Amino acid sequence: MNQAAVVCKDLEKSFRLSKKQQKIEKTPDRVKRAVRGLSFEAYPGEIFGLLGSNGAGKTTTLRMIATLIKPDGGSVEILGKDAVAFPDFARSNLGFLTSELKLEDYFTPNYLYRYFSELHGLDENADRKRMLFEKFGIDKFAEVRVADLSTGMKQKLSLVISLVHDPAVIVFDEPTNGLDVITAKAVTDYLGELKNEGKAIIISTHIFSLAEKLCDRIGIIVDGRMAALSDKQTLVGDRSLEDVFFDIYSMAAPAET
Amino acid sequence: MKKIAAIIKKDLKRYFNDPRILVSLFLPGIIIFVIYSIIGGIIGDMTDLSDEEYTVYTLNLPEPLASLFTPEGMNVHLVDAAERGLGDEAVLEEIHEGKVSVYVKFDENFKENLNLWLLGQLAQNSPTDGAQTPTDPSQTPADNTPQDPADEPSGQPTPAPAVPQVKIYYDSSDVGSLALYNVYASALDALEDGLSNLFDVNGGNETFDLAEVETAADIMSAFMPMIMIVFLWSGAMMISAESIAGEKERGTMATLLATPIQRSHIALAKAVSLSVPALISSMCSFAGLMLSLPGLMPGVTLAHYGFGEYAALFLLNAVTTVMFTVILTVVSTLSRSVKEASGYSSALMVGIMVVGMANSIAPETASPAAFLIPVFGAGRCYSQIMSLSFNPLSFAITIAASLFYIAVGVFALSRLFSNERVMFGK
Ligand SMILES: Nc1ncnc2c1ncn2[C@@H]1O[C@H](COP(=O)(O)OP(=O)(O)OP(=O)(O)O)[C@@H](O)[C@H]1O
Ligand SMILES: [Mg+2]
Repeated sequence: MNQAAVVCKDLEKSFRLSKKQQKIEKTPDRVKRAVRGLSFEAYPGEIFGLLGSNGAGKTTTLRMIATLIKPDGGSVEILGKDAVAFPDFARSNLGFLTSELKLEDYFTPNYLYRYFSELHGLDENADRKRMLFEKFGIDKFAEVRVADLSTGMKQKLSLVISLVHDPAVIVFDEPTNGLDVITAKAVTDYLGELKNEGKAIIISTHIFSLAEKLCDRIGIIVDGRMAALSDKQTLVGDRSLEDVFFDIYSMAAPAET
Repeated sequence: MKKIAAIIKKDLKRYFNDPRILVSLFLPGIIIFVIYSIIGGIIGDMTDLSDEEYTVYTLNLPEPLASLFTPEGMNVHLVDAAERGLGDEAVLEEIHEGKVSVYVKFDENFKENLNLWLLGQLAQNSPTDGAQTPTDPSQTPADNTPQDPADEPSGQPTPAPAVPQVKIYYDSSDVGSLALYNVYASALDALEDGLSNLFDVNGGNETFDLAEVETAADIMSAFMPMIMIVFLWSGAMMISAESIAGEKERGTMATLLATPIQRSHIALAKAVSLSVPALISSMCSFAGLMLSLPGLMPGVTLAHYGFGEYAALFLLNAVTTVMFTVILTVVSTLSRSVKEASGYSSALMVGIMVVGMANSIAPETASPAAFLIPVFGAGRCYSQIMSLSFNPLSFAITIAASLFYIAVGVFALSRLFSNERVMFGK
């Protein structure tokens, strides 16, 4: 197999909980260990899926990869360089999409595309913009302010903006969340294209069908730990991913917290 | 650099296309103008300066300067106190009683001393250090008016001979007297500037204002610095308070943080882009204040202040505004929501007002170190400049201290932007 594009090794991340959060999470603990010793790799030309239930630690893991937060322990390497030591290198080579990253209401897709190109130190690539805008139907709304776009269109624009710099590594958190089936299909189709272009893609999801259809390799996270990690064929065999997941979940979940 | 420029350009585009923000930029200036004009109108109505006749006593008035003391629009009688055989005491008593408006007292031989002084300066070939020439024999006789010990030079370095002095006694509780004082002071100040500060107007620690009661104008000019500072703060607050807190809340900050741009560059870009509207707002407030001055302070026109004073006020305004912007941006960054940010900034405004108040209460002769105190230094500088007693040292300290606080603030901002608990804490 070729060189891994993303290497996560023994990732650890804890959050200090406020009183309010303690109440919400119904725990007396002051600290939430969201990610506990997670290791996995993602290779060019594949889609790696992080599968896990709500609160399993998927988003936290992806945010560490995207250098928005720093791991407490372990390391992330992007294209062979440590992401904590070289955050700008990581950000330059990585496209991150998550529902918490929003675009400013006031601006139009055209403006934002140019703006984010500039933030990546690039001149706007008009051909690439046209291709992406057409692919996601943004071209007709290129001069409409984000505030006036529909939720789905905003999400598609966010996706396009996260890829202005044509990164080698693509990290998408729940990429089809909140999208209608047609839009969701456009997104998953495009992810397939990107994979064929040789991008290393990491997605997180709790949707079994999506993982089953899209991912080449799957890691199942339970409570911040990697409960299973292998290529889809080995993991699933002739059963459904859902059944496999529940088996693994019931074995891993009773572990101490 | 290009990335910093891109952020600034983007932010400014948004600010200057938002009608709400545009209104809030110009509003403080308009409010300040309207309020002060109303107050000024009330003060002005109490007396009409052009109707009355004013008596001004002079002593040793050089003939060529007489025209300076009979301003247009006011009916002024110049009377030579020596011709009347009146001593200082008697004249001051008449000012107290309101019979005489102002007493302008030049040194004996003012004109001759000034001439000799000037020649001495030319010979020394160093026009501003002239006060240090102990060999100039012409200086000593200038000061032998035995009946007035206050003639001693007091604002100058110790071994220096007497600087030619002009003293203007007035009563600020009398509108006519105050108006004439203001007119004379600015006229002489302009003249003095032209002569490289070769004589002093109301130098030393003597009391020249003989008023026994505070007038509305007094109170207003005492509080003017504080009001100015509060307007600068609220001008900066309009946008800065909610800036970063809003971006965090709306999730646009996270998007920016995911791009390859250094946190210190983001800090710099935000400080600049938030300062621009705050500066515009502060300049409007400043214009509003200056335009309302003539109505507010009798005898003061826009020409009361020279280019130097305006430049100093402008610089003070600009530096103070940027400092406020940076402080507010730090507060905004530390806040978890827009609501929290505006709460903190309003609370801080109370603190600003308290320090501003302290400025009008604190003793006249604050130590230079006091000018290191943020708002206090700026407030005191405003008072000094507006009363034409600009002090280069305190001004320099205030500006330098503010620039230092701005640098510290921008540094703090860049640290906060790299702090995930601040940026992403729940
Ligand atoms: N900033 C934070 N402060 C405190 N706790 C946090 C923080 N971020 C995440 N957590 C907690 O860490 C745990 C993992 O969260 P994470 O968002 O990674 O889960 P997830 O797998 O993405 O779940 P979901 O499917 O709901 O998105 C959760 O219990 C969450 O409450
Ligand atoms: Mg999540």
